[in-house]
Amino acid sequence: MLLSALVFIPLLGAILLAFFPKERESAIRGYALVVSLIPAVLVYLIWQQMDFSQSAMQLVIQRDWIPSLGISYKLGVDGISFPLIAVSALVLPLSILASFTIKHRVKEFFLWMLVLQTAIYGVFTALDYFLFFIFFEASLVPMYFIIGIWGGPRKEYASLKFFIYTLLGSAIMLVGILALYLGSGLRTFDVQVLAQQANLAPTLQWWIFLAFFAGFAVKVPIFPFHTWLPDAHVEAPTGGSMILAGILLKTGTYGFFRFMLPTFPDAAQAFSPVLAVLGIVGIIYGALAAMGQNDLKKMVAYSSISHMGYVVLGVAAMTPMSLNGAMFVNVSHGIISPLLFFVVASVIYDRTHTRMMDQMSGLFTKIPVAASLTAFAAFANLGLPGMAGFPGEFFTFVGSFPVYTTLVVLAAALGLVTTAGYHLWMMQRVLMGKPTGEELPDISGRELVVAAPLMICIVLLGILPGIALRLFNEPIAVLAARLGGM
Amino acid sequence: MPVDGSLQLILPEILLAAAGMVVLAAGLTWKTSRAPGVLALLGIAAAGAALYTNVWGATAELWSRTVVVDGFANLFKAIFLVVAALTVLVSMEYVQRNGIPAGEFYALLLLATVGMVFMAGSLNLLTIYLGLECLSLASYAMAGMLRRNPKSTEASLKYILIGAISSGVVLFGMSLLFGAAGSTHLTDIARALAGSGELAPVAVAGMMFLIAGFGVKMAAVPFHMWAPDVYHGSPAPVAAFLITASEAAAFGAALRIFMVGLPALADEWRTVFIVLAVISMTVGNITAILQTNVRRMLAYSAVAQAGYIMVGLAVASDRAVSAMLYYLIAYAFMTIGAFAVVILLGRQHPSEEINDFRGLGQRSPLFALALTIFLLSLIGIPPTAGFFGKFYLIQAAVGANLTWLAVVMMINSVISIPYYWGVVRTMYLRDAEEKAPLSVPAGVRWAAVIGLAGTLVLGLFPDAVVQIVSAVHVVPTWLWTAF
Amino acid sequence: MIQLAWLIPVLPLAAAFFIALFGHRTTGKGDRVGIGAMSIAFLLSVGVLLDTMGGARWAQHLTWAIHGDLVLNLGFQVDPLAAVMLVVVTVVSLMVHIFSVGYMHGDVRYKRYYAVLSLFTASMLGLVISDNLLFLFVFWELMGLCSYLLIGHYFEERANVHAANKAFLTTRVGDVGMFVGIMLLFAAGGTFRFDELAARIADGSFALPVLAVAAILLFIGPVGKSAQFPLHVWLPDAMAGPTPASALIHAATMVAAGVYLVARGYALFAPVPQALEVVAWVGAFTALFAATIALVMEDIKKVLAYSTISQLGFMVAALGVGAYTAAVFHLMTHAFFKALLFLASGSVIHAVHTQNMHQMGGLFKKLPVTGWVWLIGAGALIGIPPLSGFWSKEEILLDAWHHHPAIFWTLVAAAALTAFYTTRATYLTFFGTPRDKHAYDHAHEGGRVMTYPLMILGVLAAVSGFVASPLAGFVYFGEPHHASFDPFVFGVATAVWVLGVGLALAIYKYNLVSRRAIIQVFYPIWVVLKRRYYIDDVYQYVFVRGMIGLALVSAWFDRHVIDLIVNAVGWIGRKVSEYVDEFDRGVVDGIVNGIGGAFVVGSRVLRQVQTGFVQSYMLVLFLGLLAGLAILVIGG
Repeated sequence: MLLSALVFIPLLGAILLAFFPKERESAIRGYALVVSLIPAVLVYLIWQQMDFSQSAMQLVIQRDWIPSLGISYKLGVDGISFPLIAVSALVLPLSILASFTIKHRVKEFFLWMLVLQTAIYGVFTALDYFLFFIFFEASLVPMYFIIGIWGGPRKEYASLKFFIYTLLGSAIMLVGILALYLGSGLRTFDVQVLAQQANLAPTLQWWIFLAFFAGFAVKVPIFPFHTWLPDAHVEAPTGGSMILAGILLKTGTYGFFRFMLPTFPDAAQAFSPVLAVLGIVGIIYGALAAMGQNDLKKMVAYSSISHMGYVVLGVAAMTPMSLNGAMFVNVSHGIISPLLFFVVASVIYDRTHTRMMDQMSGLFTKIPVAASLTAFAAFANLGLPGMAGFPGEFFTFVGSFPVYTTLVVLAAALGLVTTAGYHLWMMQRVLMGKPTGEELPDISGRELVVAAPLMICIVLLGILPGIALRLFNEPIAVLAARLGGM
Repeated sequence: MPVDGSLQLILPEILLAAAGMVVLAAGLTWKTSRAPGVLALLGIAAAGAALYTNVWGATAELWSRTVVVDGFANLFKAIFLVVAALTVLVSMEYVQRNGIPAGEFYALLLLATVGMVFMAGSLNLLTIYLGLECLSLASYAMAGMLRRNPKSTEASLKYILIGAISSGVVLFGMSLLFGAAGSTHLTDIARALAGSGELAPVAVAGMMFLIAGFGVKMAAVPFHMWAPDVYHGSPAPVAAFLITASEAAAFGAALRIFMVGLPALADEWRTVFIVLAVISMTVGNITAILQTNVRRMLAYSAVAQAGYIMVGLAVASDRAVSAMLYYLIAYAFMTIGAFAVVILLGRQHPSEEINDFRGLGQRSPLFALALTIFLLSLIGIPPTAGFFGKFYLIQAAVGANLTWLAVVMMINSVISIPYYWGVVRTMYLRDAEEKAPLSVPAGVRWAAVIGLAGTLVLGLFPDAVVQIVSAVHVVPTWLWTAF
Repeated sequence: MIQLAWLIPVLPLAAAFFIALFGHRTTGKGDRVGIGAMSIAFLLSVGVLLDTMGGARWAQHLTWAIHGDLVLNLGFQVDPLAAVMLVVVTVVSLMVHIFSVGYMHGDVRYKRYYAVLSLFTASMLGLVISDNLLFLFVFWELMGLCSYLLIGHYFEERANVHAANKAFLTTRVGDVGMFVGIMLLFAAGGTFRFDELAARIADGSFALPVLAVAAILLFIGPVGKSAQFPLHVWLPDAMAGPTPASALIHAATMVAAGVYLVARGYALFAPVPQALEVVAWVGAFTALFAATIALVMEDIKKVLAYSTISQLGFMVAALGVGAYTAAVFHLMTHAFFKALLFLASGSVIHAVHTQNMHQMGGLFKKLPVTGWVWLIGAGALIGIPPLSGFWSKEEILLDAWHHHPAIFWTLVAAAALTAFYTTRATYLTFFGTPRDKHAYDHAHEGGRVMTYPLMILGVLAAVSGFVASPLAGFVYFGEPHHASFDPFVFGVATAVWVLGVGLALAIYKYNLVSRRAIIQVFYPIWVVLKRRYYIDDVYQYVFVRGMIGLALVSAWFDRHVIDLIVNAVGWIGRKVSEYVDEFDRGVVDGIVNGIGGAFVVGSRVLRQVQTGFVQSYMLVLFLGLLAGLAILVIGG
């Protein structure tokens, strides 16, 4: 029940919102925020009811849906999905709060934001491939509109590219899902049953794995399927960017943990070197490309590609520690990147009206608090110890080191320095130097309210990563054992 | 067999035909009012009621094996009735506004429906042909109903010419089959072909002619070229009707003919349908990308959709047939729904360019959302009927080891995004000069709402329909056992 | 007292957060809070040291992370080495905190300065009591952050920002090596803890080559942090920060961390002679190399910076030759006298507002306290008995002589240069005639808040050498030992510092040789030294520009190659669509006309359809039909 409520309350809220008069903009904003906070409460209740010392699915709800095809309405949550749900419950209300500056077609905007929430919670709780796929795809339409209507100058190009690119991937994945359904002979779309009992011929496993990979690789995104991301990120409004970077990318990596690794362990192992190389390339290439940007948001977007590379690497190595690390990066990036997007795209942009780094200077002097926030986010993003970015990267590297020694060394050598480099260079260009131009107002109370919870979580997770680790350690251990990891 | 009993079983057809007559007569009196339309609706409703009470669940073969009643036929009848009813709904205001003689229009519509119903309800080539002609002749006339519009006349003329040729082709194919098998009844043909090998080339030729002939009605590439002109030129409700019902009728007849009559040639026709499916969806989608006119776009989209549906014929398993039937139902809802919105906009912008949809998201949020969902469904994005239909079809294809075909289909659905989604983009991302909300005639509103409900319910809770379509058998096994 | 050891880093940490968040609401904008926290931490450290000397030990841990069955602990411990370091760090930091009240008075970012200062100290203290590599690394990186913030304190100047970036990035390069080393050790040993690693080494779980590689990789970290060649370039530029901060960075925290790491992880180095050899030579070379550059610097802080590099080289070399105790001893004495020198230079700069020694001169009269303490510090740096530096340097030289003569002679040469440049700096600053009259006239001592810390440090710099014997029995690796007096070593050491001091005095005081003449004779060498051996330039052109170039290429590649492919697919789709569309509409028509419409001859009806398209439609229809037939017949 809790899970169904979690998934459908935002949708219900959106439907009710449709009956609001368009002109009552502040009421619409407040209402959307309240609706988006309900899942946060539910997540707290779910957290209370869950037992993280076991790896099994919990709070499972299952109803027949399309019995003639073996499709059921099945939701459940375990230690792998819960952290992502929790991150969503944190980031989604904040992204709505961050979007209070939207002035144009207000009602529609918050309507789509609420619909998007249903899709997100659905993706992380669905335990039936059909159901999952519906939610997975359903997230595209609201995101398309959010980018396409409220985005920047190239919004049409960016939103359509995002839409087509991700649909192409998931279209191929759909064929894979069906091949799994038919190939297993189990006549069910139940994720767990298929993971435990599907006995697939090796070649078939390979093909299905690749089909799934197509779907999730675009979403993550894994190099070289990433080019939709910088465009989408840059053009999206702040709230959209926060969700995109913080949560939607994780639906891709979540796919690895929930579907690909448990269901196709052999293919995953065979594919692991390719995955590892792609991960490393993502880390280094993303960092280098980020360094080469002049547009702040684009830089952050490329840094997301770089960070998702860690997740891919951790998944590829398949040791308990590397998988834990990958999960941790999922969580940490899920709270860091929204903060970073928020500060550069909203706090800074709203004041300077430019995203070009060479047009800003000395913001530390002009808007000290906002600039400090930016610096905080940048240091968190570059993986400074004591903040949430560090443990994930550390575990990923240390966990992957025994498996892919050379690659890890390469990534560490090039990735860590480059990552530090572009963040410092950004701060140098944007925050430091002599201030130019007119006076600017410093951060507002609402903006602080958006940033503060994220900052608290970043520090908390950085100092005590065990808070998050204990959620998924057990299921990850089981998963690693299934993969025969070291 | 008792005559009254058999009449009971074709009561829906009788009611439809009778309603046609009544409407025609009524049209003489009420030239411009809505009365004929209402009467037509009542007639369809009566036929529906008869279908439900008298025919549903029955199986029989009547009248010297010219008419058959079984689940397959009944299902198609239901589809046709629903489409006809929806067409009437969207036509009400359109007919009035464009000065189309209402009596004739609805009478023709009902007659065409009768023809389709007979096409579906037969295992005899002759009856099928008669049904086809009945449908075709009525459609030709309907296509030209906008007499003052040269495009409409042109469409009608082209349709007649192509239709005549396709009818000839069909008839020629049928005669070849008759020559090969010595019967016009499909079960006899099947038995004859199963036994003798040397007659095969004639049968193959006959089969190919039939494919071509029905291919024209299905608008499969390369037999599709009339479609954009006709769907563009003819009155919008007629186009909607042709795109959905006429196409469905052609598929229904093809299913019967090939699966019941020509199982011996299954390898051959399956191959042909695979090729047709692939080129239809690809050509249809690629050509649609460039269209600036909504109806031409929808016409090419229809070509592509026909390609998708044809996958069912290409796979030709039980599951594939179920999927195909499902898709036809879904397709009817989403297409008529989309046409309802097009008709709505056509009241203000008769040119029906995609650009005219600018700002619809602001002007008429409900209809913009509805059209968005129809287009999502046409692309195949959940949670819509179109998605589940594609899902179902792909599932059949993968199950028959035609995974590559499934992949081609999925890639095609991605290719289709730009043009379908182009409309959505225009509706929401572009602003119109005109901001006033659109006034909506009741009929169109209801058609859109029914289409929307159908699309969403079929997408979200497909199980009931899945059970119906999977209980349906193309091959009348009950007839088999009777021998 | 020892069980309160955890409070020592926690107090300044809490102070840092408190100052950052609420500092502007308190009197003194947070300096009181920082000083208070440091004072308590200092007292606690002294207590801990006393307890430790009494034989007490302390260790504590919290679960930090669990991976499967593997538990990683946030572990801390206090042993003699840590206890000594705690006192050194807290005392220097406290002096810096106090001194800064005067020096930083009126600074725009006064609050931020104190917050970072406290955080910096907290990080170093945390590092000191970490019982494992993981947390050592964590605090190590945090210090990187703090140094970045302090060096970039005056960020309005681009050059200062560059210096901050340079410090962060250069040390990060070292950190990467260290990080790989940590991963290697963990992969081989399954733990981050020093004691467990030592036990694994002792029981032979490690293959010696692996250990050698790991040790050398690990050593790259200290090379960066302790500014050893070739990663020393950040340190002189780090002078861009406020001078008291430089004192902290150069004496007690940042640079000391590198040496401390080697000392702390000495069990990893000790069994691998190859690793020790590398360590020894890097240290010795750096000691000499940096000293040569210090000879020609004109900026008083730059002289001290290169001197720091050189002295750290002494310590690293000492560790390399096995002089563990001597290295730690020198780390301690150096912390006192270098902090003293930096603060004294700060006092000078505060007085004359320039850092260029050629604009000073004769300041001894104006700044007597500063002058006196500077003399003590300089003496200690040169190694004049009985000042503290003498004892520790003597120990290093003794051990070097016994274990590695080549290192010994290198260090001796460095010691000679040290004596020269120290004397030069001292003379140019405090003696001779004032060269900038205006600056000279306005020069005056800072308040007591500045002079008292100087005096305290002066005392420490003078007398801390006397703890040599107890220290050696207290802080040791393997067997406690204390090298015995060797007249030869003492003689050589005395000779070289006398020589160095004498030469410097001869040139700068008595003008026996003209400086201009020396420069002319050694011009090429002088230029090379002035340009710091061109290392900075090479790095700038090769690495920095190279990296930025690579980044721009990557960005370009992404936009114009990978994305091009994506867009090209879309473009091709559109083009294909155009062609198919055209074909669909008209091309066939041409074919029909070409064939002469033979297929539909005489059809008047069709002629009346003006478009003529229907003909082509039918043609296509029949062609399709025929094609199908043909395929089936041929295929069948």
